[in-house]
Amino acid sequence: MKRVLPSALVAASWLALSAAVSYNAPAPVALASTLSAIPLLAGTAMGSRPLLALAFAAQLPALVVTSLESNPLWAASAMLVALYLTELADLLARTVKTPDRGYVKETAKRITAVAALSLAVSAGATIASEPLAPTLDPRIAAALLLALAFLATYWAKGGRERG
Amino acid sequence: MRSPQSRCRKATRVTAKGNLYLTLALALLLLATALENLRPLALTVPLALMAGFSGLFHPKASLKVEREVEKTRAVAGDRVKVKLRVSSREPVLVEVHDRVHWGSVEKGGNESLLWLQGSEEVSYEVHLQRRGVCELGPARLVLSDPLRLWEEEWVCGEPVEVYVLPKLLAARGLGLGASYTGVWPGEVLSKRSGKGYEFYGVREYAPGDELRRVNWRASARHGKLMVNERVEERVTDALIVVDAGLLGLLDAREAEELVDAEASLAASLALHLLRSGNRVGLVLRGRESLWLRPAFGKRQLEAILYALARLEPGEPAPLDYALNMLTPYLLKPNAEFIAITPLLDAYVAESIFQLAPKYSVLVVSPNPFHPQRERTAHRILEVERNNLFVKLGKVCRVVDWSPGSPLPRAARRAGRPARLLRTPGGVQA
Repeated sequence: MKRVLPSALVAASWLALSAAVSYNAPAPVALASTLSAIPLLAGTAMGSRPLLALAFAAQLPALVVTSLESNPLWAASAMLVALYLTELADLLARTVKTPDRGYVKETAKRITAVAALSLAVSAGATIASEPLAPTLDPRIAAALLLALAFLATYWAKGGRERG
Repeated sequence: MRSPQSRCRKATRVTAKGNLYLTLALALLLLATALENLRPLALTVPLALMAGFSGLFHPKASLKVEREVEKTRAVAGDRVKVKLRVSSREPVLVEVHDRVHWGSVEKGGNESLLWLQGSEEVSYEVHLQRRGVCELGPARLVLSDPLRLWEEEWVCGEPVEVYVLPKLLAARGLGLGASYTGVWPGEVLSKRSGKGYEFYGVREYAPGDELRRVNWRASARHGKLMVNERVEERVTDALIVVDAGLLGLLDAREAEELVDAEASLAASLALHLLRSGNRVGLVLRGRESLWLRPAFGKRQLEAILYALARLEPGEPAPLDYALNMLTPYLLKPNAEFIAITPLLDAYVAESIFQLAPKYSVLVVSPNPFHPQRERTAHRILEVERNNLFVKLGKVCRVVDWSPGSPLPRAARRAGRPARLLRTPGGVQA
């Protein structure tokens, strides 16, 4: 297993996240959240990306429960941390089979920058949208967010093609 | 060998992870709609933002790739060093995958994750264990955003073909029984007197004859000087036929090993025959059929070795038909016909049987069956093969050869009566 310390740090952070999001969750959800550290660690050690997807999927019910029961900012932040840790684990998993020459360090910096920017903007967006929430129709909000997701991804693609 | 620089082909696509992000966002939106509760929507915000901000780091690159291959011609078992120089004007994160058609990569790797600032060299060594044509390249370079939701694939550089020639066996001293001979001195006994080693007869001394050739006993008997005459040795034409078809009865690996052994034997025989000044032709039956007209020299040897490197098991056309049509066209009557065949096809055996009266035929049959593995189907095939041996043994020289063992001494003898010969590892009839 390469990069033992970063992998251990990611796994420890993941466990801390699991503990935080499954604190008030029902027992099966909390159990799935806690056990999700196993596929995460195995996926990082073996370079298996499907295992990482499984770890994220096991964490997802706890995140949904958190979003339903606590405030949106906390739920968005938890989701963001889960995504960030999964991305880091994915990056470490890729280096298991392929030699790295400075790629991982540089990519980790960029992922951290992306996560920090996203955290700042999502905090702002959730705080700003909180007063509007009781008056907003969920279907309209859903459609708006879906459009936003498509726009974000296609804007990113457009940027790449121009580059 | 340095491959010429060529333009790269680019393609952009959404990765599986990108699709997962979108699916997850969609699922959360559906959940919020189903529950008529806005709260799960909070989870979609980080997804959309992460994807969007990741796009900010889209790389702008103009990549160049140059490949240097140590050699483009190797012998089975050789190692070939490959260097791949990747350069970019802008600093860029890139994944490099250099395609290696087959062979095991040792010392270094053909894949690498690079933080490319200027140019970097990726070097590795390929161990080419077996005969064949190994393609190295093209290189696949992948640029992506930090989250790898999108990727831009560059395919650069033309592939370089490395010909892995068969290993050579000891086939020195192979005797030929051909009665057709050419005009040049060689190793085949002709029907004329001249320079050579074998005794031909005695004749009266003529001015200019060497004194050491005088036969004093015969001279005393006849009362005049008599000299010994020798059989002149000349070159001949040979056609080597390699049968790599009808191997579907064997495992893929067994078939490959058998064809490798056949190719090694054919290459060794061709080298020996060409070195002795003979003209050598080749007929191949495999996935691609091929024939070469008998010719002399290094160029012919090279053509034969390259053709044997390309030989793969398969059967596009029946060999018996090719033999009946091609042999009279390629080979003069009474010349040497060498068939390397596992004798799994009765039609091929029948063709050889038909050709035997017209040519000096030698059949070398690599044994495709391992004595350790006892399968009923193989037993039946072995019995059939042995019957073909007995049939062919009546009209030509037949050698049962176990690949891995040295070519039997018996196969090197020429002009012996037709009979069945076996190597120690061969199966007894």
